[in-house]
Amino acid sequence: MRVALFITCLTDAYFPRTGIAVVKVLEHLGQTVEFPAAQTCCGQPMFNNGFTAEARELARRMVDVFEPFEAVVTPSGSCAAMIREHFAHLFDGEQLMAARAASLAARTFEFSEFLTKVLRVNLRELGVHWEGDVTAHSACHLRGLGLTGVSEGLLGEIQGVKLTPLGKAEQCCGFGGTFAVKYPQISGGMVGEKVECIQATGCSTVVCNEAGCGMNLAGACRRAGAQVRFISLAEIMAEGLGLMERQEGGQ
Amino acid sequence: MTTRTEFLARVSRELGRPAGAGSVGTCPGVDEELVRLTGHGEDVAKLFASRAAAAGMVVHRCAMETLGRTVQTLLGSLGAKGVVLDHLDAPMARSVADAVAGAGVRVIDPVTAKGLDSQFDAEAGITGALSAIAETGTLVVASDKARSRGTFMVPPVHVAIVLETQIIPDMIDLWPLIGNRPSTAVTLISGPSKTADIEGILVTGVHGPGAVHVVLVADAGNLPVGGRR
Amino acid sequence: MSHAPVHRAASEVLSPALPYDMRPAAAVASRNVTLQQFVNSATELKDHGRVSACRAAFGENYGAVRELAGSIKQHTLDHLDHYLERYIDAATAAGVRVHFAADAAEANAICVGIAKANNCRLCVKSKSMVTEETRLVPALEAIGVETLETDLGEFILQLDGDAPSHIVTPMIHKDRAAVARAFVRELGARYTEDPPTLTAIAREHMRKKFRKADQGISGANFLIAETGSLVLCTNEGNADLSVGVPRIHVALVGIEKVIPRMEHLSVFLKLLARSATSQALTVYTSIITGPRKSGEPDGPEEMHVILLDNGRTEILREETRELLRCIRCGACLNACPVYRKVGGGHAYGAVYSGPIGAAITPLLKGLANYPDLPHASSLCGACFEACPVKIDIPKQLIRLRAAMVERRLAGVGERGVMRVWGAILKRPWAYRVAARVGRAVQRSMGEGIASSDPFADRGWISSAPGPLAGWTDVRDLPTPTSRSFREWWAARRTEDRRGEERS
Repeated sequence: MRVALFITCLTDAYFPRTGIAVVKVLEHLGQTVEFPAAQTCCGQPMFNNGFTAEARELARRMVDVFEPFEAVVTPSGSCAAMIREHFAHLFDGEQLMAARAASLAARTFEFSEFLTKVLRVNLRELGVHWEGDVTAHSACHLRGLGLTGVSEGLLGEIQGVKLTPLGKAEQCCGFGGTFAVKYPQISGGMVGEKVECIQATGCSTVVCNEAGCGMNLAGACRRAGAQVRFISLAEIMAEGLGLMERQEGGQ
Repeated sequence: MTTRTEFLARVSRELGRPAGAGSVGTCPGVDEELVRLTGHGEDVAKLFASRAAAAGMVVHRCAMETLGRTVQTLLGSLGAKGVVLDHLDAPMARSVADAVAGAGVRVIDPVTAKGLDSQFDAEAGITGALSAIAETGTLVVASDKARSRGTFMVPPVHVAIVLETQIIPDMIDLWPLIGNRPSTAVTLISGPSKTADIEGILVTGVHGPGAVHVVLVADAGNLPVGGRR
Repeated sequence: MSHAPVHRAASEVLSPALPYDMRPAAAVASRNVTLQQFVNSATELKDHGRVSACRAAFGENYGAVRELAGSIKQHTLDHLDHYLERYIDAATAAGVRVHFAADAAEANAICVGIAKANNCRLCVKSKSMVTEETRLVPALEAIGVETLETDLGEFILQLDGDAPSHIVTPMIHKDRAAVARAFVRELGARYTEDPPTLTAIAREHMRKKFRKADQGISGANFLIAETGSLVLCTNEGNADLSVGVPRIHVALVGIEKVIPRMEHLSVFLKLLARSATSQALTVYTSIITGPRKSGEPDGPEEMHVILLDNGRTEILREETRELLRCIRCGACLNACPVYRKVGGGHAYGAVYSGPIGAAITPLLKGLANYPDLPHASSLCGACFEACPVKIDIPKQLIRLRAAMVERRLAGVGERGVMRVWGAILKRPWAYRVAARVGRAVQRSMGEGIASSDPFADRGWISSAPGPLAGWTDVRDLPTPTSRSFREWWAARRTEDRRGEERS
């Protein structure tokens, strides 16, 4: 399948290794991965803050850029949700654009979703082997996309992974985009609780597949002096398949 | 002062409908496949008894022949001196009246009492039931010309006499019994009065009765005494 | 166990100075560890209880049941004028006197008028958010009608001059010691922290009042258009005593409470208690159709229903209409991490708190008056998932944010940033330049790099300037890595091409 990678702004700049891992894993699974260089942002920050006109223009760009591909895969549940849940509505009254946006939405997948729903891979059969004790953060947008537990299920199929469930898994980490900056007390309280839950697992590795949550959680862990390393499912898979060198330490 | 016409015109205007627009299309009905939680095939008496007990009510099962004795023993154990006694349907009325007389308690007839004041001094209220719902262990009582709104609510103990034949599986089965002209008040009771307002700690008997006894009578007395479960 | 007094007068909490700034209240709550633990543990318990109760009852069908409940309410709202007409006719036929209040002042005036006309002196009131909304109790007390809140939680709040902090469990912010103190001070009781004893003290106090009261006030959980009935759900039984014992019953009800038929109660009652308190049903569900009929032994002689608009028709507009589906179960409050972190409902500065409050308060009281409420949300969607009538609250919050932008209520700074950022993101070359500049600036401020991998060598900023200061107030900010994904991809393509040329 000819798959386009939508890297998202945050993953591009802050977690590029996750993007590299996604490419390597998808190629390993026989997909032809392309990276349309004209891509920028899905417009979620504008949309969520009520700047609808700005968001609409970015959505239009996204449709133009990604339309030629059979499938679009992104390592972010929240950007996938933006395309899936909001793009078509942004073009209410523009019939053709709305149809194009809906068609793109139907072909857009979050990474773990693409693995399970489209490629239907089983990581045990695939022979992924990665030794380590981990806990996993579940991003809220995955719940919105009906993907609760999917990433954890995949982790469970990896030989050598010992997964300790994270407390208060259903509670938001407090990122919420500009919310984290505008309401630090509230957001800080939320992420503080997550840090406590992470520490309670005793794990030094947290699997997190959402760049925004990752920045928030990693930043709060570091502030709290918690020695924790963040890694994405794609990175674990790439390392566990020998496609990337295993990386130790660091946040 | 806002009139009915002005008030409703505002609603229509915000809906973008002309005032007095009659057409409404069809409202979705209650899809039983989704909403019914208890079917007709189940042993509703057994289910009701267990769910009512789970809801905190005390269930006493008896046959019609032993109803009087059961009520008399219950009133004795409660040490009730005065009870409010609703007008019950035959055939329970006679045996319950005898039981109350036998227990030597003062009876308050809510129909002749005119008003609820005297009920505040009673120790128990005895009612029948319009129906009972197995799924939730719920009593359904109706208030009308013969039945007071206070009997099950004002005294600190409520005793309800329910026939097994009155039990319906699910709330869905209640509405046909009530029909389009409901009694002035129909009350669904699922346990003793409860609160958890102070630190979430459950306390019973805050305003309504702190104890609800359900005397569950096996249907019609045409079976020999002792021939019942 | 006791926590620092967070006591503010009810009026100050429910009708604060406008525009309301949520941040100070949130900041105070964020420092009150005990209050947070209280609200946290109570809401988490309720939230988990709701999930298991709904799963146990409906299993796989739960989503479809929510969908059905939402669609019945939505249909009713889509034709609300019609269903209100039917309700008014049926209720009138059952002997109810129906009144119409365009706003809070009119509703209170009608209620005060009824009390005066009947020489009422003592009023018992069951829990009702609508009467909080109109501030009815002070209006009655102003004409000398002693008005007693009879829901235990509301009663305690009334003794303390405090305001409810939760739609369903109003004193979620108070502990037993506070109750004990209030009972000693106001009722002359001996000091005890034992909840059953405290409850018994309240019961004895209120039974005397129920016996003497001449007016009873309630809200309603539902109105039934077909029969003119009014439905009340409580666990304590205070509503039944409040509206059954006194001579006059007055119900103050928002227009959104109507449902078409009695049988629809099956859907809503099965969802309401499970969503609110994880019970299958509330202990008491009373369906009241008119006052005492001739020949009936008791019940009120008069029953009045005051239908209240008070801004609801504004919300009835198509884009916000779904908000009126709300059945006030409180599930969204219990599920909301923000509600937990701000120490419960008082921080919202209005009667309706939590996610549903954040969405409706700006519509009822003016967006310019409550600029924080739409924004103080991470849009995590927990409220949407918890809602038994499927109100998309995050979508509604975003809609309010857009309305603020349209009406130029958004900050100038934010508008500037979003416009410039939007312009950059439309142009890939500008995006690449901005990303490089941003990276260079951030990396110059960062420290603590723990990796030599150019795709993982992020540093950390512990104190950022400008708008990002909010971030670094509470956590470190990672910097971009020294190379981006894009650069990796470009380099790889170059290598591939070289490889192709070589071969």
